[in-house]
Amino acid sequence: MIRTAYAAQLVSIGVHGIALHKLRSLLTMLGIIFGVAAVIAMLAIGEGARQATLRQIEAYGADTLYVRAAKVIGDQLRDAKRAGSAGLSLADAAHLRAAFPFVLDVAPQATVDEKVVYASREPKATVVGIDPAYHRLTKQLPDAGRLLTQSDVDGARRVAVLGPSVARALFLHEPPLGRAVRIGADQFEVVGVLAGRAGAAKAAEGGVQIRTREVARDVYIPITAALEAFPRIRDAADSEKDPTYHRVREMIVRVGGTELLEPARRALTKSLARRHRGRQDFEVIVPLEILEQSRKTQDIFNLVMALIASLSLLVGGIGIMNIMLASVTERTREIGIRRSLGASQQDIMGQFLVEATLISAAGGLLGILGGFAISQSVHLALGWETRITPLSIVLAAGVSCAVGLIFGFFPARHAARMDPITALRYE
Amino acid sequence: MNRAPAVRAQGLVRSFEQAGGTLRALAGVSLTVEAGEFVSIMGPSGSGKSTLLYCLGCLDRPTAGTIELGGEPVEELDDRSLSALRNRRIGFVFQSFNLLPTSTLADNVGLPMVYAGLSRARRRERAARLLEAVGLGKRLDDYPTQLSGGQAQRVAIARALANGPAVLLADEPTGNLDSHTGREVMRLFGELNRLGLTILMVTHDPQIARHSGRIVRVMDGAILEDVPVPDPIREEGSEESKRLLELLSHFGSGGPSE
Ligand SMILES: Nc1ncnc2c1ncn2[C@@H]1O[C@H](COP(=O)(O)OP(=O)(O)OP(=O)(O)O)[C@@H](O)[C@H]1O
Ligand SMILES: [Mg+2]
Repeated sequence: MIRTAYAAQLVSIGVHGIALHKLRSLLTMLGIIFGVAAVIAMLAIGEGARQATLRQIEAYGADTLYVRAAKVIGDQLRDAKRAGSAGLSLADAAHLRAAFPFVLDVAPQATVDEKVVYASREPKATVVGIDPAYHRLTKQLPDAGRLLTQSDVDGARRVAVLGPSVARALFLHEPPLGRAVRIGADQFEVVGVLAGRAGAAKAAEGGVQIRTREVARDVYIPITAALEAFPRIRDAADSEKDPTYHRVREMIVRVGGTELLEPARRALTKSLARRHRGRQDFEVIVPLEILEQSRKTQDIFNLVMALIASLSLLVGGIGIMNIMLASVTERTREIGIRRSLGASQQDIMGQFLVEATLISAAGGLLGILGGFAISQSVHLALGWETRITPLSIVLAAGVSCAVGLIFGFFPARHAARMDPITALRYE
Repeated sequence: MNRAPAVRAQGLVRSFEQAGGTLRALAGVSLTVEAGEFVSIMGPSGSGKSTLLYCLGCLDRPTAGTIELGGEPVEELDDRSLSALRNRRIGFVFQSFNLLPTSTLADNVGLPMVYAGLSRARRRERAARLLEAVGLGKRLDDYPTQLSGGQAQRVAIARALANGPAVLLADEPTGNLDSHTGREVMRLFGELNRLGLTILMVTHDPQIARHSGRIVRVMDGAILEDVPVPDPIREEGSEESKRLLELLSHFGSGGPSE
């Protein structure tokens, strides 16, 4: 009872002291405000990136790797073609499936550069040729109708499964199932509409850029139909514009476990290189490795931010020490009066420590708000995902209180050790 | 009532190290003040009066000699115990009032209670009664700058009484007041003394000293003479003093009546 009343009194004295010098206190807080804001923003950006990457890996599975077509230009393209490589192909996919026991699933994709049209509506959409493995690996589910099947692929059927956004944009309120959409010159029957899975769509944002496409805008057709219906040959100087090269743009490969990722990467690279006549026209990507890589980048970023934050906090702490020393001198007589009325050295020490801590804690609070503002701005301006965790707030609050205690200690001790008589006589 | 003397000092020496050598502000002072006495300390400037008062009030430590308060020696006490003693048993009144300018009158009077651990509500209630007793009951939330000298000194006296002390130590309490207000303060002291409060007062003014029962003359840090006042002035209690009397009879002495 006595202790709480006493503690409350110390706080009220401190608040009183700060309120008397609002501007001075605010200026003193600036260092702490910037330091804490930097800490909060740094942790929020780091955590946001981590979450985005994790979600992405989660969406496709941690035990997957990607084989992606690499851009081949000009002479190299002519040279590769002469050597007999056609870039990534369905045959490559079949080969990977058959040749490696640890390869559980291979999902090849071919992107088609065509619009999707229904009743003269042409919404923004990406046409992708896939086989059922793609549905499996990306954990897609139908909302209406069905997904693509192996027999769709085997028969190169002109059928399509629509992403939810595309379905809405094409058909408005009509039921899409059974209707035909036009892709290029061909009619494709809509057999299914995908469920709008937030996870899968979000996975494409931020973090590791494995796929930047918005899944909800995808239109899936059997990969065989895609290759058959759109074999147009254009004279092109690079593989991106030459549809005969890299008929398959990307393959998702699932292996039996994360420990197999690295050996699989090496084995696949070697085997595909042989099939492509030694031409490095593809790359094998391990998302988990990218996560590690981004973590390392993140660590460097964190180190820089931590440095800025600690410098800022140091400057803030010195500011607090400075202002507290001034305050102690200014209130020398008050200290003498309090001592004469029964305040012990400890009481005086406590009073100034509490005041210093209040200043830095208030700065910390403003800094936390500033951190929210910064991470929100980063999110809006750069599109990075940010996430402020409770832990970072606790950390920031703790750090700011600690700064007050540490840098308030010397002035408080100075106040406590003052000779009461001298203090009373001070003008 | 306590049989032991309120204050007993023996061979008090207080020296200050200075550039020119050692300055002995107190050069062996022995003084006994019985409980309930009202003593004036007089002497020229620099004779060590304030130093003596501070030593007796446990605000300063003598270089040599012993002090007993209510029969208890204080030499061995650490800062915390000394502060507690100062808080509960001693009330200081200064020439320049020494109120905190940025705190209200209620908060000023409640200040000693803070260090006695009283809750905010209890402090305010008690400060209200004390201020009422010194005739400032309506000005709880005013600030010291809004007061006249006499009023400020009455607030300071109310503050000195906050924890019901046994001894009041006043260093030239009327030094900044005109003779009329000075007499008012003396009337208050007289009433308090009649209630059993022991008072030691430093003063330059012989007229003021005549309100006390005994005069101790100090010179160069030593006691020159120690004489009773033949016919002390006992002013009739005003309305205020009567209220004070009533109030303090509830308080008792030697610590807050919790
Ligand atoms: N902290 C100190 N350091 C050095 N000398 C001091 C200190 N305090 C007091 N003195 C000296 O001790 C002597 C006594 O001082 P003190 O204040 O007790 O005198 P006083 O009798 O109260 O005088 P006055 O009537 O002017 O108030 C003086 O010479 C003073 O200069
Ligand atoms: Mg003096």
